[in-house]
Amino acid sequence: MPRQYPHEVIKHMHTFRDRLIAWISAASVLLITLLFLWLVLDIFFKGFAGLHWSFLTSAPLNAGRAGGIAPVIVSTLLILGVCMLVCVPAGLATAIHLSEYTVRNPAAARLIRRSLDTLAGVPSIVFGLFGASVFCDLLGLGYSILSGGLTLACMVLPFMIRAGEESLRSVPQEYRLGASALGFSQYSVLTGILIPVAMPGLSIGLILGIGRALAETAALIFTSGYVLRMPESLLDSGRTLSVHIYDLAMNVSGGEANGYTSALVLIAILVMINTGARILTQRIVHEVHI
Amino acid sequence: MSLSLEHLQRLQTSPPAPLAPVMDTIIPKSTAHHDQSIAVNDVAVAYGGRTVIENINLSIRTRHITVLLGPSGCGKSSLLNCFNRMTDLIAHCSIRGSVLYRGEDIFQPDYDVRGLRKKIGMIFQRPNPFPFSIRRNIDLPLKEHGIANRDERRHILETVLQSVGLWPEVRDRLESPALQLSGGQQQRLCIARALALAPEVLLMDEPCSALDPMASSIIEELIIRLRGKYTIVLVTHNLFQAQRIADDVGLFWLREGRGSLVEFGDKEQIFSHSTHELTRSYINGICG
Amino acid sequence: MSRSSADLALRRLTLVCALSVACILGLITVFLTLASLPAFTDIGIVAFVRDLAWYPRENMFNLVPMIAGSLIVTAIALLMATPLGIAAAIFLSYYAQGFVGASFQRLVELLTGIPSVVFGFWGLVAIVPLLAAWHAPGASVLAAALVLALMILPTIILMSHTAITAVPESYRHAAAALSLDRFAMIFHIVLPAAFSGIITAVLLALGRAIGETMVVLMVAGNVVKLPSSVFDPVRTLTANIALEMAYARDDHRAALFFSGLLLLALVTLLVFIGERFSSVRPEHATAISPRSDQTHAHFP
Repeated sequence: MPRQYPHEVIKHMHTFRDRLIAWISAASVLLITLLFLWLVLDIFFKGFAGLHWSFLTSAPLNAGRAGGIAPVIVSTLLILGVCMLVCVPAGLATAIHLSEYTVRNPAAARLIRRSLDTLAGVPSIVFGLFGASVFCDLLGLGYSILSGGLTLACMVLPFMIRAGEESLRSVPQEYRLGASALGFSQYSVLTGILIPVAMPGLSIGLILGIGRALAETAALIFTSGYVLRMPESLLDSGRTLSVHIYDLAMNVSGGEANGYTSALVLIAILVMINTGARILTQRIVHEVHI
Repeated sequence: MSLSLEHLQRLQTSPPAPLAPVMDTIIPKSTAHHDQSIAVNDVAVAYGGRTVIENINLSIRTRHITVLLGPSGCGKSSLLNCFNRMTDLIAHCSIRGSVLYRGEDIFQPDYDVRGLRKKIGMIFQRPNPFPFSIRRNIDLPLKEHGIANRDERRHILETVLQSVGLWPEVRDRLESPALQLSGGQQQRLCIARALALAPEVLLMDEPCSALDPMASSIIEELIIRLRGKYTIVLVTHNLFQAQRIADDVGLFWLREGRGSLVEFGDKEQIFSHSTHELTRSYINGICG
Repeated sequence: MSRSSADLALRRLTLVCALSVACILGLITVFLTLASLPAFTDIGIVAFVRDLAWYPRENMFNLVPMIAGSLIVTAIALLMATPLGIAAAIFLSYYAQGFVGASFQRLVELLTGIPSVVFGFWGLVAIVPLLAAWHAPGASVLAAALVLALMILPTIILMSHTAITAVPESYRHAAAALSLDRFAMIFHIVLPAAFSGIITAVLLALGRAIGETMVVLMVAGNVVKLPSSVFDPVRTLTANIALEMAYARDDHRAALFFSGLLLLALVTLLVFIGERFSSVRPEHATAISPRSDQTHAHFP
């Protein structure tokens, strides 16, 4: 954080009310920090107690009170896979359209952007309702990994598209001009220049999209359901880690300990994902400044 | 592959010419049709209804250096962008009149633009190598135009890097990022990249103005070496540069907010025998 | 030429993708409306307000307790989070020195990534028992509002901080030159100048809070009754959907979809209000009106 404020200029005129807001804002920060540390440390220490390698690899026993989360992890990965299989091509194509093809038709672009902005704010439970009525009922997929993954895809798309569009837009104009002047077709400009150059940014979008999908619960409860067995096909119901935590907390008395450990696993994955995105971002910033 | 053969033949049969003193260069006065590479007939360029340049008539002689000279903002670059239809990429840009390349109107609706841009290379004001390795910068356009044989591409890579004088400097680090090169080296790489496609015409949009004087003079020498092998159209606002390298000169000026061509002719006529008042004062440094 | 037809195909493909993605919002609206049609025809809009209670099995569909629950919990959460968040943003912008500021910011950024189900879980196992010891039953309006406030705090802090640092330095120099003290500088110059950014942050947080399901589902107690104090349990619109969707049929199901539609309308409204406050995004301006000197290249 660069310090922008010329402290020395006004240091000599700290009045009483100046000290008051200094104290109030410091106290707020202290309060927030304590609450947050409480949350993080509580989950870390109580969750760490149950964390063994076998927790990740063994089947749950007794409705999840004992045993591990192996089928949950498999279901989570499958749902995530379905979601990304839809999101990556559709999101990339939309991002390409928004960043490269909008000049001739700005009205359509405005419409698409506005729709995406609104979509990004729609509550996840509403996506759940939509998924339940379209994927589960209308398309007859029932409570399944497929329904859950497709519902998640609708939810995550706006965020991935926004990230993708920004990173394609940030590719310097000279590269497009240079490639066109060499007689590249649009397809080659895209695959040969734009996508490779924007790749770090595109991966950040992908990573953040995965993070968002992993964190989601409400949209999945009645689309992918919460069956705890190992899924055998994409049409089986399966629960994600988030749904597992919810179920252990709400519907399984005595599931608290394993709930803590599952929460720790989920947070650890998300922290790793966010750290990865952060490192990538810093690398981009670094490269730009060479 | 005919492209590469033709190209190699050209680069090899004509070894880099010794740097001849510019004044000794003989300019043939012929205006025969086969000597004319690009003909510009009554062209006007407008951006979203705002005309930036109009009433342009000139013809570019094959294998000569034509310099489009004039102060900034008088539409020289806009005109240059017409020659390889880069104007297609600029939103709301419209062209009137016709530009003939080898006698064909390049603004016909079904004209093969990719083929045109292969034949007419372009060098930009700011060097714009792609942010990949040096080799990939040359390889990409070659692959794009169908040269699949790796040995062939390697051969072209060496030949073009030789011809821009970059080979001794980068032969050991062809896989390192092109953006690590200095500005002048980057610009020579861009020229090599254009040469790799065996173009007939090179369009250069102030190729030296983003470079330091040293790098700039290296590029200028390179351009002079390319004379006689390629048709070169170069935009500059640098009068001395024009005097040093031009065969033909077109002087542009801003009139009533629009760019127009004041005078066009060979170097001798523009710099020594101009009858045009504006040209004479510009040459003598009175205005501009 | 085959290449140019490939280019055309590419252009069309991306357009089709973009339009289909843009259609998702429309599809959601259409399907929610279709699924809640019986709510309009069989139940009637008035019934959602007039019915005696929410007893779907007896065909009584009074949504008022749930709507009130959503609004009350959100309002209290926002009342707690907004001043706290802005105070923290002020601290980050003007008082935090080096390490302290950086670590606090890092902590807050870490928390933006924590899923709501974890907040809910923690609220249920850590906050609710504490509250229960003070004032039974524990799972209550207060518990939900507290955890919800904690969940939306990072959004408010980070976005307000961005808005505050975006205030031009010259304003602050001018304030200093006028010999204003720091209080006046912050409250009369910086905060008004950053107002639109802060309002956008608060609106975004409001949207997240009102649409949040997991936290309220887990800690609010889920009793369908207008709360008479903050210690009473409450059920929100979102929790109601999550709880009953699994077994709801016919009119009951339609009623749930109708409450989803209500949420959608509410959040869309918030997005529109938010757009009023946030300034025009700069890249739109350059993409739509290219000038000759700053040409925006695009594919022909």
